[in-house]
Amino acid sequence: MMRILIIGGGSVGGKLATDLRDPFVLVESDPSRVWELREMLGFDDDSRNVVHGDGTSRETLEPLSNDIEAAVVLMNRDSENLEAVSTLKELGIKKIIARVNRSENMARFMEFGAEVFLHPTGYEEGLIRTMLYPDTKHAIQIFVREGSPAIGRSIRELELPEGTVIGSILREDRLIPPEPSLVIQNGDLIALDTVGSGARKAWRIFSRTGRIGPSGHILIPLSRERDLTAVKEGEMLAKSLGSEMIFIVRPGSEELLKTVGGFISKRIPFKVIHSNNSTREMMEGSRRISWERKERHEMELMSILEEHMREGAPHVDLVILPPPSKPPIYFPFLPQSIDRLIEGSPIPVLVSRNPKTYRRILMYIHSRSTQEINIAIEIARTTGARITALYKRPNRKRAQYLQRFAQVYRVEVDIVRFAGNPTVELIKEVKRNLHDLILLKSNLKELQTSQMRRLVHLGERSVIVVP
Amino acid sequence: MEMMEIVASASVPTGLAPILVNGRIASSEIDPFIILAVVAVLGFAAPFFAKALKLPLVVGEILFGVIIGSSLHVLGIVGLDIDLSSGMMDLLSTLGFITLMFMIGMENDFDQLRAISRREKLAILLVISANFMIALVPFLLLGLPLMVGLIVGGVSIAVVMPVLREMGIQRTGFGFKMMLIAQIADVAAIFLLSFSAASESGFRTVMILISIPLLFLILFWLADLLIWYKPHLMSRITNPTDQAELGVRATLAAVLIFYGLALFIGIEAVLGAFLCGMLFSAIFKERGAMMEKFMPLGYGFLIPIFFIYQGFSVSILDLFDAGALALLFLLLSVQFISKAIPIMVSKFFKRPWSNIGGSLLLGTNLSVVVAGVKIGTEAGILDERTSTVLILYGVTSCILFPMLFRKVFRKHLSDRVGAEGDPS
Repeated sequence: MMRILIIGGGSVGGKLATDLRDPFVLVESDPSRVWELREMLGFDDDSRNVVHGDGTSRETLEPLSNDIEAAVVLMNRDSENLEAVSTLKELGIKKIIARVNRSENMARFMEFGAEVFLHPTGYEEGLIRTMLYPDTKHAIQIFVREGSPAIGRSIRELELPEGTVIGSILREDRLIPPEPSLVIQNGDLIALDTVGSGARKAWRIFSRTGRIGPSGHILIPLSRERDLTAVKEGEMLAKSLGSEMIFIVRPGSEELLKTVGGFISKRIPFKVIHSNNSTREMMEGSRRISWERKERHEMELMSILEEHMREGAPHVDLVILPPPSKPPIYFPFLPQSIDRLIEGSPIPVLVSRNPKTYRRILMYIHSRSTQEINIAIEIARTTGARITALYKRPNRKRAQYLQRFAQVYRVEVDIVRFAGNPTVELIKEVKRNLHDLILLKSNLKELQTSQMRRLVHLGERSVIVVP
Repeated sequence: MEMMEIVASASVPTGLAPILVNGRIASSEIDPFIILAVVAVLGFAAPFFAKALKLPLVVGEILFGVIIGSSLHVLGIVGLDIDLSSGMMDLLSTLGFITLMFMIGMENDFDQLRAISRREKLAILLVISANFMIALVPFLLLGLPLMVGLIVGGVSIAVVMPVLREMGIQRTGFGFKMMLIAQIADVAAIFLLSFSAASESGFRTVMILISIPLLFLILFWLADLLIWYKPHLMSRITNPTDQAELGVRATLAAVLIFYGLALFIGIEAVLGAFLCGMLFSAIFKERGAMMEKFMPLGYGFLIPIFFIYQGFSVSILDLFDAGALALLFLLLSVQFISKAIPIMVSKFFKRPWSNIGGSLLLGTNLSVVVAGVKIGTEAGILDERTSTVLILYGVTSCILFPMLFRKVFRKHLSDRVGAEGDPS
């Protein structure tokens, strides 16, 4: 059960609330419409399910936002909707679905992480339900953005999931019939009818692969000579992915920055953040991550990440850390600062050991490995690496998804099924030393934490740990 | 020696025709394979018997054993004394108990343990401590040995886990907390019983208490190193498709080594099997394939033998002694009250029915009774009559409380689990 906040109780909001299966709170600015909605939905006159208020105001939304997991913004003007989306984002609502009236405004909504649909479509309630409950969706609209692998390919070549039919394509205010030979272009708005999990797959085929890529940033803290490995690997990745680098320089590390500036390619954009936060400020900055016993370095890094996200600054896709020094005897039961940082980071962390272009990437497929698949595909697509994916029989659908996804992106992939213990099989594959990059999910139930820590501390290859 | 006799008698074809000597049939005169066949048939029939009477399977198995045991006692009174106990059955029953304790140890989920709050951990420890204190008081007042109170303070995880598993609630929050209380109370009781026998000095006791977690950590570290440095070997061991079934061999060897190690350290031997299971669960987060290998052997063969065999040792005829009946009633009452008071007072589970149900299921007590009676008789603390009543009490608690739990909890579960997935 998830609690949903609906902002705007017009015809679409009212219809949506009528047959929504989860508890909701509806905010409407027109008092007479509030009474009408309460009567229509069978609520008492003082019901807290239908509330009178301004959907763009923080005063209205903040008290209602407790336990809210998704919000649907359905007001009439794009400017109001955008304001509401921005407030909801600030209030920490993760899933925001917004109606957009003018297609040129879509990108602005997307910058706030909102899922959008263009008004009017005629089947908006169905569309919203589809977006709220992705597993039972029937119809979706996809806006083809720059970087989508579908651009330049015909509908026939896309290999859409079974049962998925393209209803219409809107291109520069013209509706185009979806002929199999039609080539997809940047900026196309595609309406699809799907069944089951087809919508999710279709979404992946059309949209950008994940959180790593051209519009994102790679964050690299600098403090020691060892950090140069991280800089080199960061440069290689930034060059491949088209990302920008951000260096965090602590007091006393300015010399290191000069060295970095000396060897880094002029074509790779980067910016520098000088970190001189006091411990108290850092504590306050990292309050939301609520770690205990954090060390200064971690706190500083997390504080910067937090600030970076809060201010709506360019999104950080990846943090690159230098490899930790190898201890003579390693005890994985006593987590070190880097372990706590990796295990608690909200952003993927790469422990750098390989500044050369990747040739092979190793990953473990589990039941929820969408994010790792996206990242692996994006890196493999841009670096030309081959992916080896280990999976166990219950996760075969995820493996098939990777395979299909890889076909679309023309990435070479080896899917390896095993029957034994996931940790043991993964370590066995790692020890073959065939892979330059290992991609894992943090705190995964199937994988032994102590072995994952060993990979970070004693491994010989770069490791990306995805939250 | 006994095993040798059995092996000898097993090879004699006349074993198929028991010989009546002075109206008695001695155990060595019945071919042990006939006894095994009888128990195997009973093991096969037990699930049908339990289902017909709407009992948890474990209860059905024990009750089945009690009925057979009591029938044999009646036959003994009329002069036909058939003793179904044998060295082979003892061995298989012990193996059943070891397998059960190993699998219980394997069921541990350290991630889930980490996920519960400090407050909940403290509450669990308080409930268990209060349980032992409440259990000790009445028996000390009556002048009975301290050991009886410790036995009554115990909980049988060996019964709690199969009952929860059968009802499909072992992985819910309620099931997890129940398992945790039962495991700690079971292990604590067996430890306390071992030490209360007073053969060891205080220093040795402390050393044992320190050495066990230390040993556990060292072995965990070694296993962790083995995975890192010898993944190919470990892959063969953990691969369920390995032709040589290296995993089963390694696990059996590990369990028996732990069993022997526990004997060597001087703690109750089945605790070794339990610790081995815990170690496996700590090393291998994903151990489904390993469990699948052991489940048919354990739940399909060895564990039913253990439960049925426990039932054999009890005769309903023992209930006809008024003193024994009173003591039995007292033991059962204290057993329930010592769990119910801390759980109810602390409102351990969110819902009242969960508190009542939890207290009832935690009333089961078998492994602690078996171990306690063994330790107590060997140390000369428990007389024969008290030991008999204690065994009777253990078996009765395992029949009575799970039945009541299921009765109380069934409706509650259908109301709650369907809606929220967790009865806690």
